[in-house]
Amino acid sequence: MKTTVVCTLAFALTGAAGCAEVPKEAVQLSYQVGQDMSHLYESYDALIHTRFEELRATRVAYLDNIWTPKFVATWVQKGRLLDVAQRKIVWSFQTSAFVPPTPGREDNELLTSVNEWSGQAVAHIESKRRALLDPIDRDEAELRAKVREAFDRVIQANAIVTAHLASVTHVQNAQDEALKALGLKELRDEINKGLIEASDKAAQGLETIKNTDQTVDKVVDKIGGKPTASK
Amino acid sequence: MPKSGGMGGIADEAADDVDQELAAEELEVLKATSTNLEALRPQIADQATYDKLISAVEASTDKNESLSQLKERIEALGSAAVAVTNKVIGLLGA
Repeated sequence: MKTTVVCTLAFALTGAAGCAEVPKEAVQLSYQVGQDMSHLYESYDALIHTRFEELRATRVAYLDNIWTPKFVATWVQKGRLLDVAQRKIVWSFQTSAFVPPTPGREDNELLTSVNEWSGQAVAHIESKRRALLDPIDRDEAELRAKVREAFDRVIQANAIVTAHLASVTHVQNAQDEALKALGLKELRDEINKGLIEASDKAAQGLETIKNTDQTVDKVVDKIGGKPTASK
Repeated sequence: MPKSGGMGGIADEAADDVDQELAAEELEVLKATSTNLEALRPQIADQATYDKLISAVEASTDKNESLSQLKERIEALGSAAVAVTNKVIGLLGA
């Protein structure tokens, strides 16, 4: 009964798995590639972030060193900051215009006007900052998402290959045990070895035929004829 | 730029003036700091291609896993069959 069971198992496994061998190191290698791929992703992602930080820094430098000083100078003029500071005018929220200060309320109106002036300055500089940096932030988010997606796809596929290689070695192990029980494992190994040797010999034979063929071609060329195909 | 009335409207004009004045310089900065996303995007096979290949490999993996489990199952079946046979023989003998 046991022999029948083992025979059935051996034939089933041998027929399904074939003779090719997958070393366990292939599974380990594939697994390691999957692990390292995650580290590669982290490094790549950090590199992208660093690059975009540099782009942001360039735009911030333009904003801080060129745009903002120019804007403040223009805003001082158009916002009539000097006149306000000299108490000649104040900002009127009722008329939305610069008007002479109300007697007795000059200090309060001066403070309100300067507050409004500085609030507008800060809001416009911040608005410009967002206009310069938002496109970079969006590009960075998009690129990092695409790279993440690509790495995920490759890592997932590699995990599938690793699982497949592992499954092949499981079959091989089961096959080895079954053949061992029948005392046939050595026979299988011998057959595999023989097949490899036969393959090597076939390769050598092909090489010999190729060399011979070239020699024949040279001889034919030398005597000036062309070999005709046999019918 | 914030577009608003009152003092904000005047500040908008100031910002617009500066933008116009610095237009060429700003364009250079924008060009130098722009990114060609399409060129940087990883050009790998699409999800559908991967899904198709993964399905095929997974099916083969499942088959292999079933085969490797076959040994235990056949062995279990063998010992169960022997046990049942012994039991039947015992019953018949009784």
